Amino acid sequence: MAKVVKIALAGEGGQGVQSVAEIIAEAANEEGKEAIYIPNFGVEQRGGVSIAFIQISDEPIGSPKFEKGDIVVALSDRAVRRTRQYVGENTVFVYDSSIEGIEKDLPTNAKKILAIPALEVSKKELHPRVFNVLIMGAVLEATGVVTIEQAKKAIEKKLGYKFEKDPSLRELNYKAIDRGASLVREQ
Amino acid sequence: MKVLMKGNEAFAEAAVRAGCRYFFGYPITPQSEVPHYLAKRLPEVGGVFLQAESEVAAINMVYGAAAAGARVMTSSSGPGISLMQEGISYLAGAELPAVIVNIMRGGPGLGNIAPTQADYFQAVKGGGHGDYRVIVLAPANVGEIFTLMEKAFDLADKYRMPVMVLGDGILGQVMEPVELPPLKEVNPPPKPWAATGKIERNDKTRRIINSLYIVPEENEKHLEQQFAKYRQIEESEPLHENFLVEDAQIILVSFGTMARIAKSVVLKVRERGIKAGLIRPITLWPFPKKAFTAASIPAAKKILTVEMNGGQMVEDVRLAVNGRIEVDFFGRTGGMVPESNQIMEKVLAIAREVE
Repeated sequence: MAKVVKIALAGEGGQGVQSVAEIIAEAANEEGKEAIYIPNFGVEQRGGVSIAFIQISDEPIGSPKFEKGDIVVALSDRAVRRTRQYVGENTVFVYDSSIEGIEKDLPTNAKKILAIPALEVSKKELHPRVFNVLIMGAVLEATGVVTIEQAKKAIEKKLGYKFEKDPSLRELNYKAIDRGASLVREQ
Repeated sequence: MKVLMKGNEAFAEAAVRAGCRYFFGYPITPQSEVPHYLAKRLPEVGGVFLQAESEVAAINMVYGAAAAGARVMTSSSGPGISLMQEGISYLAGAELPAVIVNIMRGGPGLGNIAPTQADYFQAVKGGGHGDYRVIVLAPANVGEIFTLMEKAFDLADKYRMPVMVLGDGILGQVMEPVELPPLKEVNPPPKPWAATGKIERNDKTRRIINSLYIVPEENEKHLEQQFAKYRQIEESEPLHENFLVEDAQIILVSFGTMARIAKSVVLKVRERGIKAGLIRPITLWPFPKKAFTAASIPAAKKILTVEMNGGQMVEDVRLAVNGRIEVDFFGRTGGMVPESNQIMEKVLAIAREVE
């Protein structure tokens, strides 16, 4: 992986995109890669769309922000509209298939557009609270920036104290990440 | 092993590792992780964290701790730093060492919380009242925060003056891997001038620390001493980074995180055969003038200063080249960050011009 992989994750406040971004960056660092993560902290504290920008590379990374992502993930209708600007001809655009009323807002210039039923799967098969972890699995499957195993270790590092109290949470998170990866594989 | 660390947390941890044991401040976005981190960390090392009732109170607490000989700091962002300017002027007048971190946000007034470099003038040209200088350091990445915070405390003690470390919202909020410098014992220089309450037997001198020089002759003498100190700093402390400047016909000049974007532009236009380079001032005051001499940039035909503001450091660049080379400017302001393709277009236009 000589080039820098650029990932933008966008959603509503509380959907957990910033936590996922931090876990991915942490996992990349643990794998000895260069990683940069920066939240779009300008507006989301006032109720705007929360965006996380992540870059992962084998080489040192220059600019903390980027103009076009390799993968752009939008988890709400507003996030779809907000992230169009980060989509270019080399971008894989991923959005949740349950988002309504955005047919006309989807980017037209993307390399590939994937609609995945992440929200539905997390609700029906797992638990809504691991929705973001499921998305992380999808991102990792689509980009290969870090291994699923490394991501699980990074989750353990961040949430291990919760898993101590309730080991079933560990299983739930691990399932979510695997299921997220499978949603992309099935496309 | 590198650890993933947020810029603001790095400012805080770096201060602890530089021997800072006292923090007085008041929260403001985008730097609130600095006090958040220190509230937990300082008590672990026997230090004191205090959230003051305002920035005005905080900077005066910094004054008190500095007067007692402590390594002390505060941090804030634009509006809070403006409130602190009176105290910073008093620190300068009383020759007190302290470190002030400003994580710049969009101004003027309440502005916004997006990243800018709009407080360059305020930091470098004074900010508070009176005839004084503040050393200003501008880190560009999380690793450099550690080296420059240590340097800030050392310079503050060495020259007995306030030192400002100027970051922008990007640097405060970004997370990137950093090799933590080894923990080492910090030995600040002795401060025989400090009002510690512990005076040696037979020592009849009183430790009076203030900035009141009511007799103009005395104030002038005091300030002349300060200016001698400032000249010494201008001679020995300027720092900058050169990137591909030796053969560069177009020299970009940027500081802080903006320089990272500028560096990526230099690499991109070099792929097209355009000889561009970058000068990154690390000390903003003293400004690294020697980086701009004819001998330092022998091939330069034009300079382009790129900032996250409406054009501030560009004035110091123009002073440094003193009309020898034309200096152009590109910037975005109000919390907008110049994009690399915008800067590249500007560089390409200049390249056509200088051909």
